[in-house]
Amino acid sequence: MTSPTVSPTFSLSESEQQVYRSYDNIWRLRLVSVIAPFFGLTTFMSLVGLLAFLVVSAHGATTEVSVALPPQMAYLSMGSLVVVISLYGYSTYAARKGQARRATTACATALLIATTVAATTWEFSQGVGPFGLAGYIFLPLVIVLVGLLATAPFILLATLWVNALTITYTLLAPREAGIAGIVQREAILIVFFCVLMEWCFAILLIALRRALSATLRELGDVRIAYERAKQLDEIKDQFIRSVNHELRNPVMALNGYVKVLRSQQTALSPERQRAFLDRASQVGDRVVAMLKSILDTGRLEQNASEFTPEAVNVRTVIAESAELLDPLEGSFVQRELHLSIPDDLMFWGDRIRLQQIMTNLLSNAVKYSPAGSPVTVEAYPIRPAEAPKSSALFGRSRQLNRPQMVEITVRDQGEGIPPDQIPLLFQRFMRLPRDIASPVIGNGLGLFICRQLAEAMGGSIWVESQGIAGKGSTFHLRLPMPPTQN
Amino acid sequence: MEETAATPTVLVIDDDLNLLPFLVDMLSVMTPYRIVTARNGVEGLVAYAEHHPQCVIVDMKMPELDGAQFVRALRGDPSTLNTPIIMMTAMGSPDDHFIGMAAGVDRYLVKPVEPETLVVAIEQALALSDSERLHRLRDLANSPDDTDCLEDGSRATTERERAQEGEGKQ
Repeated sequence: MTSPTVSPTFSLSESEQQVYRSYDNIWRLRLVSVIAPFFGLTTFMSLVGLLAFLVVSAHGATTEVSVALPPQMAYLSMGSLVVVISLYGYSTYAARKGQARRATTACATALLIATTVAATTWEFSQGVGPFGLAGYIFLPLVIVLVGLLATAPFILLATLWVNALTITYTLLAPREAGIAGIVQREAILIVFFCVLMEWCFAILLIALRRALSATLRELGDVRIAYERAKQLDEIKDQFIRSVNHELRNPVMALNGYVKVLRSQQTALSPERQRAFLDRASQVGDRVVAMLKSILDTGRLEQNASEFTPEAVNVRTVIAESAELLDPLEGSFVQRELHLSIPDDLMFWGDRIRLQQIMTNLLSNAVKYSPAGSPVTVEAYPIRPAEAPKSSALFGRSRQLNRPQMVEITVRDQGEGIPPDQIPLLFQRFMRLPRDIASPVIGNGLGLFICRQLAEAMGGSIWVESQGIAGKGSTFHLRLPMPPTQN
Repeated sequence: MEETAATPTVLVIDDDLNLLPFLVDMLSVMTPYRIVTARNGVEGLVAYAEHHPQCVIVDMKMPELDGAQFVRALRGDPSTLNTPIIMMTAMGSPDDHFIGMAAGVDRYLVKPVEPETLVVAIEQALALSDSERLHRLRDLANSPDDTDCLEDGSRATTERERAQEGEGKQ
């Protein structure tokens, strides 16, 4: 028995990358949703206390607290605390909205500002004394909190900032008379030990973050493997539903003809027997074709990218593809095929693979639109998308490297595809609910194969449809142009 | 086979272009009935009005009007209420079986069906008397949600259990 593993040969889809991000975000969001409101409230209470202190001081009353705070410094602190409270508020809001990066950045910034304001106010108003020196021990706690919330670069920045605060307070802040001599004498030693301790915390936090990231990544791997296994299970169910409907009828007819021929041999004229055999043979061909296309899919996935690209004329391949269409699919009704393709338009890829894609697309256009309605095929070169203005310089270099593409569109006038069902179309064994109930034969593999082949050639395929009957669908196929034509 | 005015007509409704010709071939060889065909429920109703068949074989999943809707249309009209109806479909789950039987069919067959089985089913459906069918349909209409009387007067739950057992055996 094999255990589900994440295959390294498959690139991660956007939703799978989201799994990794969500694992990393969830715990940070939960942390912020506790820390930010708590510290916000604490800061608010500090602000109220500071305001009360100023009011009391302004009325000339004496307080029991031996604090001498110049009014200018108090006003500056109050302004800063308002900013800090706003940041905590924003952080809480962003956490509730699930915006992890904004929430953690705002919270970490608020922590740094709050610490800076509180420590600077204290050290410069009261002077570095025993209480102020004890405060040095609490500065690394900021690094711990920031380290839990933010990324490694932010931790390094926060540590450098705390280092700067430590050095500034030790060297520049006024000192209390009792310990001024000691601080003067041991300033270098104090700074050295404090900075060392701060970096120890920083390194520890970075190491913890790395270990946690690795664990979360493994959790993400397990989750993705589980999701893929679940998806595979759904595909299997879809396959069984699709094959169940598509195979039961021809198998019944095939088996029935054999049984009737055997049991009624004497009652049937030779002509009737031959007619029955011919029909049984036709039904058998249908069963074989269906089984073959199912079995070929596995091989196709392996071989899709095994080809030597070359410059191929688009018009020629599309004309050949139209020739290959099975007349049965169009119920032998003549269709107008409008081709609007420059004679010299070339693409860079494999002739047979484009032929397979185009046969599939044209066959679908014929099968899923009213008999006799026209099918239009257009092809034209397209320029790579313009780079965004903000990165015009880099965008230009990228644009030079990006190959020019050929876009081929196939438009029919059928029932169209309901927009909510469009994402299902290019999945394996996926047939739209209305198609399973319709007489149109299919195994849900055609468009899946088209996507595999287009992507193997460095292209893409998608469909536009409003699901309005008569307006049909437009399938877009984009393939690279030969390097010389870029 | 030679057809007379008394030859029963069987209407076969199926959207599968391979199966429908086979059913016509097979039934015309193995039974004396006159066979008429339709490719969906709407065509089926038109064909029914035109040919007044004595028995209908109908698929479940079809465009326009599906098999269950077609059956309900016949069972809802007093003039067509007693028509023998066989549902023959690829939908083999117990729930599908229940939906088919609840719509009012006489027999529910899951494809692939052996030719002999289909012939026997037609004969049994034709042999079912009007009063037996009416009695069963009345039970179906009067029974509470989970105790719908179905084929053979059995309860729906029993019918579903039997279908589940059948699935299990396969």
